[in-house]
Amino acid sequence: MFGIKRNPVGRPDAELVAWAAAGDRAAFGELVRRHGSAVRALLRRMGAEAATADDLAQDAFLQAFQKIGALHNGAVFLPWLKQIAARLYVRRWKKDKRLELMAETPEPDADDRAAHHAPVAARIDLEQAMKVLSPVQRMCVSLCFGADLSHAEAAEMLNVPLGTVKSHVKRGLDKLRAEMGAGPSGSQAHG
Amino acid sequence: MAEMQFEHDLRALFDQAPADADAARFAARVDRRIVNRQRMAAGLISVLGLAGLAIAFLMFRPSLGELGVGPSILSPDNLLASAGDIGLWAVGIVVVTLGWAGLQLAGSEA
Repeated sequence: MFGIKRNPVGRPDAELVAWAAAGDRAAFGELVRRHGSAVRALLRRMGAEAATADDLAQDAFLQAFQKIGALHNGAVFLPWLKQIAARLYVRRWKKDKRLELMAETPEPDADDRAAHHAPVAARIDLEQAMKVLSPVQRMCVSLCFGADLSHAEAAEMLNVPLGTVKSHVKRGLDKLRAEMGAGPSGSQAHG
Repeated sequence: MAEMQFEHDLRALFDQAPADADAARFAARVDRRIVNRQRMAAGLISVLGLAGLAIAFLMFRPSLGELGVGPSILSPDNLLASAGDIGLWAVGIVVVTLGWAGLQLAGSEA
């Protein structure tokens, strides 16, 4: 009630996390302003519609606020938050039964691929580039490269064999490489 | 080597968040949901607390009367002497509690 009003703007994440863990909503609000865009972008890259990404990002922040006391290293707030958001999206994805992880989605044909090739300026638009991937590949690549999960962690989250995730990641990377003009080659993602 | 570089670049791209003109509004929405949830939790705790107080009051009512604690209207021989009176008190407490909880919920939606 008589606490000193602290200005959270410009403070490092670790400090804001400590303040938020002590119940400082303004500090948490600054974390939301700072990282809201990253979380929503990750969810969209995973395949969520804009409105769904918005809802799930809000849910992720709510969960984060409730559990923030358990986060001992505040410097890793963003990766931690991304994993909460990714888990929420995977859960919804499974519930919607839109995913048949064991069944490979048909590859786009050559004409489709050509149509997807964006001009150079748009190649850095990752969200756009991810659209050439099948939903499963998109999910696996996003989990491993966007949410920083290992292949094993992604397999556990998706409840599928490790080899399935590795295969989807490899094919997804090959497609992205072609889409973004980096030339074809194999995957060396961590796992 | 090239593939590792590509994967490194891809991670960097994933780390780049697009500029967000909606950041303040998004943060306000999250804050509103946090406040609502806190109010709901506080309301629930208060309702449980009031219910506990009501139960405790009804359980210890004769002792309070014997000790002379509280106004004489609480004496076992007066208002709460009969089972019907106790029932009325219980109904009254429930109505007041529900009304208060409703106000809390209404406040949290505002």
